[in-house]
Formats: sequence, C-alpha cells, structure tokens
Amino acid sequence: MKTIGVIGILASALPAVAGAQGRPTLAFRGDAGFVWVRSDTAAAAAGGAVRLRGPVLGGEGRVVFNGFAVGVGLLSGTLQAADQTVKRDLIEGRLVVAAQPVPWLEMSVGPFVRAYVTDSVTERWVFWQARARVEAPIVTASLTSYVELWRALSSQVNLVAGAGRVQGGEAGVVYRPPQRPFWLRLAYRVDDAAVRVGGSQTLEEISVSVVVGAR
Amino acid sequence: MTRAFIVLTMSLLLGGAQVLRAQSARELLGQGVRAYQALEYDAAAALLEESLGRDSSGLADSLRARALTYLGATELFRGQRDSAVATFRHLVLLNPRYRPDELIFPPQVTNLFQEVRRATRAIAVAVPPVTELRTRIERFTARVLTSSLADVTVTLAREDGTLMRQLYSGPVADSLLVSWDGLTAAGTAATDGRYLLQVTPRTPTADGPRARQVLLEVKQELPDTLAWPPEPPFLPERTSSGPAFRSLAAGLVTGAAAVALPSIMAQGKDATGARFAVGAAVGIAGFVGFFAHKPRPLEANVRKNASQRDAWMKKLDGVKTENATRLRTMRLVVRAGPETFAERRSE
Repeated sequence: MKTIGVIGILASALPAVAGAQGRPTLAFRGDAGFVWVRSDTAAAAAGGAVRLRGPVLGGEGRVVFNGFAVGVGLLSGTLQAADQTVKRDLIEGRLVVAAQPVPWLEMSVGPFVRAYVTDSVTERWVFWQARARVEAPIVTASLTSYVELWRALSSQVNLVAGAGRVQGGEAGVVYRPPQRPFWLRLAYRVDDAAVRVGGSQTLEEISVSVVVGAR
Repeated sequence: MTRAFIVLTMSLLLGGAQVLRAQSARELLGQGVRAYQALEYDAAAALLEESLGRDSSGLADSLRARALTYLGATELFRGQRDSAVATFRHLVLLNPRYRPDELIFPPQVTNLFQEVRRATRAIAVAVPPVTELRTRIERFTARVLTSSLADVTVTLAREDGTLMRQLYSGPVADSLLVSWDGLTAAGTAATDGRYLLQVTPRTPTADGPRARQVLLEVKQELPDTLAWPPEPPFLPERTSSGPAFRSLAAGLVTGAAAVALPSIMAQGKDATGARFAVGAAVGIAGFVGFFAHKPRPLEANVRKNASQRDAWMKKLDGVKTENATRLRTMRLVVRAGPETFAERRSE
C-alpha cells in the first residue's frame, strides 16, 4: 500500500520534474497552536473519555524543486486535562514527499509519528499518510484558502487494542503580504485515530504559522 | 379536347385572316405605287384608296404615310387638287413631322404638301416604348412634334384625368424634348399605376390641332440599399463579476469545510469551537475577496470603446444617409402605350 502511494506521488510529479530547469528552493514554516485531544479508548480511559489540551509549537522545512517537494516536520507541546490531573507531552514528526501536478492541487505521502509521553509510558502511533490538498485563491496571489484531507494507508499503535482507521483534514487560509518575504497561515485541523476494539482518539488543532521562502 | 381544338382553329383562322389582310393592303400599296410610276393615275388612285380603305390595322403608320403621299401626288396629277390637299392634311395629322422625299416627288407635290402642312396645325408626341429611370437623377423623355408653331401644354395626369404634374407650357416651333424626373408635383416618386402624358393646345380652337396623349404604365422598383456596418467587437467596460463570486465561494466553502471537518473526518465527536474561529476567518476572507474583485469600470476600455463606437456610429449614419438617398431616388419603369387623340374636356 505504501509503495503504491509513493509510486503514485512520484508519477504525478514526473511531468513537472521532467520540464523543470529551475534551482531548488527552501521553505521553512513555524507554527504556534493550541491542541485539544479527546480519547475514549478503553486503554486510555477506564472511567470515561480523557480530554487534554495545551499549546504546541512546531515547524516544517521543505526543499521545493519545480512542483516536487520533500519536507520534514516536527510539533511538540504539553497537554493537560482541565483539572490538571493528567499531563502528557505530545510529539509529532512527519516526513513528506509531495508533488503539485497542477497549481491548485498538491498530493503527498509519507510516514507520520505521533507520541503521547507520560513519565511511565509512551503511546506511539505510526502511520503512512496519503494527503490531498486543494487550494482556491480568494484574492489572486495574496489570499488563498485551502482544504487538505488525508487518510492512513497503514497504521500501527503500541496499544493492545491495535490501530484502526486513521484519517483527518485541515482547512485554512494563507495570506501573502505583497512585497514581503514571508506569509501567514491560519489553520484548523482534526485527526481521528480509531482502535480496533472500539473507541478513538480525536485531535484538534488551531494554529497560526509564519512561512519563509517558497512553499 | 373538342373545345380546345375549336378555340385553336378559330385563333389560327383569325390570325391568318389578319396576315392576309396586311399582305393584301401592302400588295395593293405596291401595285398603286407601280401604277403611279407608270403614270396610270386613275388605277393608282383606285389601288391606293383600296389599300388605305382596308382595315386600319392593315398598314403600319409608315406605310400609311407612304400610301397617303402617293395618293396625294396621284390626286394632284389627276387634277384633283382638293382631294390632294385633303389627303396631305390627313398625312400631316398622322405625322406632323413627315416630309415627302424630294428625290422621289417633284416640286409641285412637295410644295403643295408644305403649303398644307403650314395650314394644318397638328401635334404628335413620341416616347420610347420602355424607359427605366432613377427618380430625381434620370429622366423620362418625350418628343413633342408640331406641324407648325403651336402653344401647347404638356402634362402628366392620372388615368382618371387628375393632373399630376405639368411638364411644359409654351410654344413649340417644330419639336420639343420634354423630360420628367419621375416625381409628382409634391416631390414624391410616382406610385405604381397608369398615367396619361397629354399634349394639348393652350387655346383650343375648332380648327386647331387636336390634343394627343400616350398612356404610360409606371411601376416602382425598390432600389438596392447598403447593409449596415457590423458592430465592432467592443472591449468589456467593467471587470467581470466572476472572480468576485469565485472568491466569495472559495472563502465560504473553505469556511464551511473547516466547520464540517469534525463531522466528516471524526464522526462529529464533541468537537471544540476552534473550527468556528477558523471557519469564520476564512469566510470573512471570502467576503474580502468578493469586495476586492467587485466589478469596476475599465477606464482604458471605456475610452477605446467610445472612440470605436463614434467611428462606427459615423459609418452607420453614412449608410443611413446613403440609404435614405437611395430610397428617395426610387427606380421607375415606364412603359408607353400607343399615341392616341385625347378626348376634349368639357371645360
């Protein structure tokens, strides 16, 4: 499944790469956000759903080469329950290979790791994502909206219950100030990771980002 | 079948009889001329009178004139001067411009004819059988002929006698060319119909010339007009409203997607209100885009269109003027009937 996804992405990027003569460019994105996690898996919550929230910081670096991009991203933060009885660190990392066959569509694939770390145990999710992102300009070249959906091609979790379907989406708006080397992004995303025996973990994030360089 | 045969046979018989009559009158004329040349004046007179006495359609006007000339000369040489004068008078009335050939007839004949011609006041009018003219620009012409100086009025009247236009009023010494531009007295083109071209003496007298007339059948033909110049391809004078609505749609759809994401991707599990903040922000961005792309005038295009429109309007006005001129100059086809004597009016 992973192989098929990677091949698909590479195939869609081929026309752009074949006609490309430009130099690779770099882009960096810094994110500041707030995350809400709701978990109702049996392992996580014997006495009901666990709700955690907290601020996160993250970033992503990309090498862009004529519609073809490779990126690495990292996000980290500490989440707490409202009554501060439960506390976990959230760490996410991803590697992405992306292609933009047409200006309004980006397709990507890559591994994604999410870990909830406590003093005693680390709950680790690993999955391969296939993502599709559609952009729609609002004000040409300066204000763009986008919607991105993804689904895990394969998923693993170190819980006894085992990983089930994992999917998510993101929607937001990007503002590129004229004559400025950076641009801003406001986004909302939601991930839902189910476990086989029932229950799921839902993560929501609202984030503000600053991007420097090419997308 | 039988009826058709009878009609055909009768037509052939009648037509054949007319041809025979014509040939007979012509033969009689030929025999009369030969008798005149052989100085057999009594025989010549009899033959010529016989040829003239046949049906009036037996001889054409030119042959009738020839027969009358020989008859007049014959009567003169027979010593019947009064008969010769009456014959020549008849000849002058038939054609006021006719002159006996001085190489054929001796001076005593031609002199007598001139004497009679001067004494006989006759009018004739000659018109071409078909005339096509453009009103105002071209003209229909008629030649008025008189045997001696005569004061005449040339008019164009409707078939019922209503005067349409007076073409000439004045003296005619020998002949006069009268023309008509195809218009009525009101200045409009003559409508389809039958008209009478009448030449009448201005002061009718008992011994004066008789009025003559020709029936004219007038038919209007519409002139060709120019096609209007095609409208030039004008540039858009305002920006399209499409981008504005696309921006609004992009903002609203993305905002709605942000709000709906938990329902779609996480089965709507007790999502936070964060999505509304982002959804609202994207929606507002959509409205910003809508107003940023609101249709606005394109001044450069407006100016360019104005000059193009002016040029086109000038061309259009030119074509309209030309067409109006062409429509004013209606094309007329005038077909002339035979010349006849006009009936005297009671007034």
